Amino acid sequence: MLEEPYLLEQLYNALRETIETMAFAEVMLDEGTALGESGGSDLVWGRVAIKADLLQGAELVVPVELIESLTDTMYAGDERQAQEVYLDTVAELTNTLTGKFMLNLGGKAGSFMLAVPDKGCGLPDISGRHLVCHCMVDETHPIRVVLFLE
Amino acid sequence: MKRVVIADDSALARMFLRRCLEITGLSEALFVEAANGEEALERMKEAPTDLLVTDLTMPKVDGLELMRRIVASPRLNGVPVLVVTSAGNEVQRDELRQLGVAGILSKPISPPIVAEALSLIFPLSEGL
Repeated sequence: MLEEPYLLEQLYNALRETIETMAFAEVMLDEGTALGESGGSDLVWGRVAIKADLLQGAELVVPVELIESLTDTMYAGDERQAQEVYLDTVAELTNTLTGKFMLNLGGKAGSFMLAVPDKGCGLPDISGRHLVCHCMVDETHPIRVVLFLE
Repeated sequence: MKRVVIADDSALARMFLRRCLEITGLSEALFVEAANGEEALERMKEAPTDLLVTDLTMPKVDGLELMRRIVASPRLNGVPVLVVTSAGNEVQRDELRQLGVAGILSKPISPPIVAEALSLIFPLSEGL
């Protein structure tokens, strides 16, 4: 049985390890920060469908400012990247953290497959059964990871 | 100079893989990128390839099908393949091992993990 606190803990661990390994940024749990207070115009998201028992998918929402900063760090260059590159970053981060999350479950969710990630701009609505993990990156940027349940 | 094909639908992932490979001893290699398995096969046929590093989940031809086609090709069979993936359930991993994959790494990767995988693919006697 996959209890919700356990799922949230593994989700956070996967997010933290992904961003710390790839972008050398610190990720901490945050419980009260509201994402999208500006209406979502400054946000981008990535989403990965999961083919597994009890789990449908995962979605990462981050401020544009943060994804630009992480991307520039990862590319280690001085030039600004095109918007498509930033969207690719959020998609790849979502893809990596979702896979890491599923591996962290250690087979408790059974066999699984991940779809090719989707990406976009704005603040997606959340519907259906889900869990939400709010975090703060480098003590500055609020982000949100949503785990969609069956 | 070794020729390395990197296949992943994410440009960021390809860049990250390349950086790790360069840091861990392949700084002088010729890197060729592909956004899916179909492109990877085309790149591999253009010139002798010393290593393929590929994701599993890709559009058009995915990593598992790519591996099947490589094994089935008299020309490409024998090229070492390193799979770097965020996904990969046990059924896929078992099939990859049966097909003779050189290694399967889980994302997020880091230079030490890549270095260890490369040491098994390119023994010290052969060098990088």
